[in-house]
Amino acid sequence: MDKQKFTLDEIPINGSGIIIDMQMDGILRKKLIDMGLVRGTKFKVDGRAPLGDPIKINLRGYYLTIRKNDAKKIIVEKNG
Amino acid sequence: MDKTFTVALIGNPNSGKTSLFNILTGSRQHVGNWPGVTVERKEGIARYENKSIRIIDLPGIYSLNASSDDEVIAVNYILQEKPDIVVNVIDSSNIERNLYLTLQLLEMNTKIIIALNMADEAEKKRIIIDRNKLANLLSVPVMATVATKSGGIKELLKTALDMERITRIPLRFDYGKTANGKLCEIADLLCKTTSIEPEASFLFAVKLLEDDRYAKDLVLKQRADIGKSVEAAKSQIKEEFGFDPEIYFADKRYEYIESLIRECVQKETASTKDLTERIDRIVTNKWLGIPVFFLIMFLLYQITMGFGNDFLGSYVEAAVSLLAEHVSGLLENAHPLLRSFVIDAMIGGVGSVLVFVPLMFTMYFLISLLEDSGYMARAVYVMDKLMNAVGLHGKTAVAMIVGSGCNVAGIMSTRTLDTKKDRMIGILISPFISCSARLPVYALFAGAFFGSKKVGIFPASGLVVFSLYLLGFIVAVAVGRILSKTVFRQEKSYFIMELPPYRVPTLRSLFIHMWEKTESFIRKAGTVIFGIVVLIWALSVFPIGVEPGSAGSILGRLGSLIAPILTPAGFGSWEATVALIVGIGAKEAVVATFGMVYGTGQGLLTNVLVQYFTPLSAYAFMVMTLLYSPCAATVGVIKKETDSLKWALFSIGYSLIIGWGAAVIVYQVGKVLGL
Repeated sequence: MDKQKFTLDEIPINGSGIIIDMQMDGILRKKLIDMGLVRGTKFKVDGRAPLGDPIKINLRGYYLTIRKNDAKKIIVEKNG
Repeated sequence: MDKTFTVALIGNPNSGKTSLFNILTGSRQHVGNWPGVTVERKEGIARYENKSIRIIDLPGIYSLNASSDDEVIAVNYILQEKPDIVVNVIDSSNIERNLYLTLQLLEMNTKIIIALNMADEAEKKRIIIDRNKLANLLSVPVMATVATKSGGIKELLKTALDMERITRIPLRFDYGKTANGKLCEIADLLCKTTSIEPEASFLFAVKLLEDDRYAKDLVLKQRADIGKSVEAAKSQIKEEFGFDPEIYFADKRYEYIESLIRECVQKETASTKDLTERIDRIVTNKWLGIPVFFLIMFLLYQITMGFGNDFLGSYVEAAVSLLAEHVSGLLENAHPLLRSFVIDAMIGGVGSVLVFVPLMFTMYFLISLLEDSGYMARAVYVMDKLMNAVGLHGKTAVAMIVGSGCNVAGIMSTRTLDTKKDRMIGILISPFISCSARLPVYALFAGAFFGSKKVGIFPASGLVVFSLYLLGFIVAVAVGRILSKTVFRQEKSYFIMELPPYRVPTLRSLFIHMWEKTESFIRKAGTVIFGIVVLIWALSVFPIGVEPGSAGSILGRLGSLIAPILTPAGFGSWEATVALIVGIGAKEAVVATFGMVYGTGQGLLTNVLVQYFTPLSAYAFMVMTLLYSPCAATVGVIKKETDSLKWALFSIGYSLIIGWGAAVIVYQVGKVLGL
């Protein structure tokens, strides 16, 4: 399978991948960890809010929403 | 037993913890505040075979990292107040993420029961959890519960009581050889040199390495030198694994959770789209999402006014005037001053507030429905971009909706905002949102001046009220934008939120939430407002000999002094001024004050007002009531939540200027337009 590095906000709707790095620190990183985002976490981009932001992703069996600006700091590998 | 057996409930938001609490405690519950903070603390009593069990509802949290106030409360409660049992409520259909909190709990020195809640929902989603295996692997009891249908409740209570005498050793999670070695070293140090109990020392070592605020505050205050050992251990772990302990530990925990899931959970991949996805396809739809949001808000206000106020409210009104009539007959021979006190101050004053209880019931019922069903989270998601465009957070939109019930509740709900910037702005703009206490004023004026008119199928009074809500929203957003671009320009904001599955709320819990929220209003009506009404009554009848409530009374003179400032806004009478002064205490008292100063009952007030106001000045007065100064309770909460008197005074000052300015603009522009 061909795998490339992207930031989370670049994955199109219905695209999926794996988280490989989070380039941030402090409270935002803590919060993301609490919500189940760590290296190796699989996710699928499920949709976007009516105005295109935030993004809605599916991981660990639930839906999480995150702003594009914050998603830019999450490095992912894209499936397929 | 000299101390009541205590069970604390803890779990993620949306895990059904509150439903479980409601079922366990029934009506035997009360709401208070956590010591030192204003987050609501719910406590109740459960009964099992003649035994009373105290149940504590801890705030819904995702982890014990103590990065928010809610998390600090939970950690503090478990470590300091030591409940006999902690019940970890888990949403079975979302077990994987829920287990993260569980692992952190297991590291604590407390007895734990896991309640796999919403077992029925998981079954529907074809998620099968092997409870026995999970219990064996984690060495704690695992129960299945269905809180909405009281399933598994007796078994849960029995298990809790049975655990009274057994002891539990905190989990020593295996973080790998290097890390565990370091953790043991620091735990040892903590045991020897600080007041931390040996059972909790490993947990504190973990927390220190994770940069946990709570642990650092507690330990480093006692022994600053431990900080050095912690930093050394941190850099050693970072060197060996390439990551901060915070990330490294989290990785290890999720790795373990994933292995637990593989062992204990069977998941059949469902092919059919579930209900949540189908609803979301409409309410978060690219084109429909925002119109649906505004439609729901519009309906919320129309139902509150139409059903709550006009329909239900009229019965209460009839009952109050019947009571006044009856008592008036009984007191026929009493001293006129006493009669005036009982009829005007007591029945008139408090009655005029009670008339609005049905309206409040209706509004809180609907808000609870939106919250419990899961729509509120969608509202946040849908509105975030729009709010963010003006420097605000999606959750601020919800704080505003909750604030339209009561500004105090709105300000409290800003606690769900994670960053200081979003919180401060949320708090400061909340008072501009039209709360239910302003509704009595609108209901009176809109009824008197716009009541008989209709615009299309909607009553004009409803549209007038809606326009005021909209104005409050616009002013709040505009002020928020200014604050975000100036005072809080440097601060950062982010957005991370779960979209929970939709759930049909039980009628029972909707009624409990509705009652909890309305009760505090009724209590206020019984005490604060009653006090104000009596004070105003006294000011209006003294000095003795003046015509009660006339310009010659103390109240009248005070009003006359300030009235000229309000003349440009169209209501420069001393009566209106007095009503506004009283309204700073509590906005719902404005109506009662009008009744007092015009010397009429509630019913006649409508006829009297028409002599003193034009539709235009009535509208300007409503705008003033909407925007000028937060009520006393709101100012109190602003001070408490911002921890600063400066911000509380600021909120009074700038809203007085904005309110006055807006009322003047409305009146003067309206006059030019010939209204």
